[in-house]
Amino acid sequence: MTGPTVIAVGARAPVYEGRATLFDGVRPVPVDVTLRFDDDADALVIERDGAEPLRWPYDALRAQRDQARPDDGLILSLAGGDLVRLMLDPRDTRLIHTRAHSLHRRSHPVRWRRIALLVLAALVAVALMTATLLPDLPGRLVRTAAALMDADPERSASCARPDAPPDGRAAPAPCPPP
Amino acid sequence: MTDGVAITFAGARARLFGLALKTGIATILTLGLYGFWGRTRLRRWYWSAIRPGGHPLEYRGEGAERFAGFLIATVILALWAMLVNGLVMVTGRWVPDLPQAGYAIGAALLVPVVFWARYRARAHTLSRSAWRGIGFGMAPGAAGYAWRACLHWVLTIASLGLLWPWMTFRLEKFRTDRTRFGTERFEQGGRALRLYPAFVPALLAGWSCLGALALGMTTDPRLHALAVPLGVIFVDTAVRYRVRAFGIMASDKRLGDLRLTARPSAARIGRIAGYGGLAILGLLCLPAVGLVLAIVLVPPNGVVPAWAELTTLDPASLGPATWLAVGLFGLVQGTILLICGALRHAIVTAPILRHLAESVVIEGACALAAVRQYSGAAGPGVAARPRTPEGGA
Repeated sequence: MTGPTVIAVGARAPVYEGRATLFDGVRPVPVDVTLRFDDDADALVIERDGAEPLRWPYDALRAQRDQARPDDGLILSLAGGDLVRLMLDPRDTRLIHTRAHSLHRRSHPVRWRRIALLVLAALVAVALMTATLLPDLPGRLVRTAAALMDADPERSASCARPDAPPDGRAAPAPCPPP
Repeated sequence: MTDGVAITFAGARARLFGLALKTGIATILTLGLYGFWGRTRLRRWYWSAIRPGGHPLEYRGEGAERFAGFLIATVILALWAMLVNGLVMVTGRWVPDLPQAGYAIGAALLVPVVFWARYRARAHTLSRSAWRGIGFGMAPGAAGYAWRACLHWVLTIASLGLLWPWMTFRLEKFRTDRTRFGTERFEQGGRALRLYPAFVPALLAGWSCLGALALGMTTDPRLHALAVPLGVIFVDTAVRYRVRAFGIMASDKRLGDLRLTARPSAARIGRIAGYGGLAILGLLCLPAVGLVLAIVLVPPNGVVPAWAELTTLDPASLGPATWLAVGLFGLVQGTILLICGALRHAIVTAPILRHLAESVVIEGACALAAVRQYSGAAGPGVAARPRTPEGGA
């Protein structure tokens, strides 16, 4: 038999306090910290003994991707790429997910303009190389295409057609008789 | 903090198989383009599975970086080919026999570039790796590594393989001595001579195998049959040497007052690779075995053509049912190839990494307290990323 339920009207919900391990990005030493959710400021507050609390905005929180054991809890970092890491307890993961909606976005923007320039450079380089190493390639492609479109499938691109105009290249072998 | 820190491996293989399969399918659908992102995701998974002291390693690389590296390599190789071809064409006017020799020299000159690229690739991987919020890194030295590697290879070939352990040790020392964790630099101790007891059986087996092949060609062809068991012994002893060399050189590594102890088992790695390889090979052969059984068991009037028909096959005479069967066979074989690729990660690579990781113990871990984040350049060819020590507002 339980006692009567007391509803405290107007009272604030008890402040959630979680535990986590912080790596401060300066020394490889784990630091036990206390977590609080400051929903008014949309920030995760990380309290350490003898140090100023850290405030990580929910929007800037990023979770490590492709983790081998995601059930062990989230590993959080800040967008922008420094190496401060916060290892959460698995039970805090859900609480973070309900607040931070950019967890799985990239920490660093992809430099697509650089990639596009490199793709262009690679295409140009390969085209130049092909033209240098195989100078007769366009001519061969044209002859192959002409042979494919020819009505007589027996005749191949590698054989000479009697009606073909001389183009100054070495004469190919004559076609076999039909 | 205890003084000895064990390394654990914490990944579930089913999850790895799913990730490898997913990235494999995406790679095929994008004609290979997603492969750069797929391999990055797999590396991220492997790094996060390796946990020294219970804290996972971290890989921060991106697929786009890998793709950019591939594009740069393409440009370099294309320009190289053009340059070599141009030189050969110009000089070929005066020296008629030059072209073949010129192309061979051009290809040989690419060898140092390969070593240079390997050093750079390792430096890049390390610059994107971290543990406990501290980044790894590698000092510049790709050019020095390239000429040293070429020299060691020439000497090793000239000595018929006798100097292989010396090359293994010297090149590993060159790389290790330039590797750092935060502000602390790794140091490769020990001597190359320590590798020789594990190497001698592999060397003898290799020489015997080559000798049997050479005698088979010159005197009695039946001696070729002897090369098969000798080849098996060579592979076995070579694997043992590699594992033993890994253990010896890992145990001789230092990071300040911190040192590693590694005792990997060659037999266990051999078993993992052997059984895993056999399982994958069996799966790969499954469609071919199915086809042979169908040819043998199904009556000749069925969809599957008889063996005699297959040998004198005229594509024009094939009916739609046969083409459908050929297409289905190709589809099944392709799917099996994809599954085998994913399976390789789950039953070979991950178990071997697990064993290697769990065989290493970090001793003197108290020395980690002296390590600080390195604030210099992020590494050769790698753009430094902003680092704010407090990590937040």
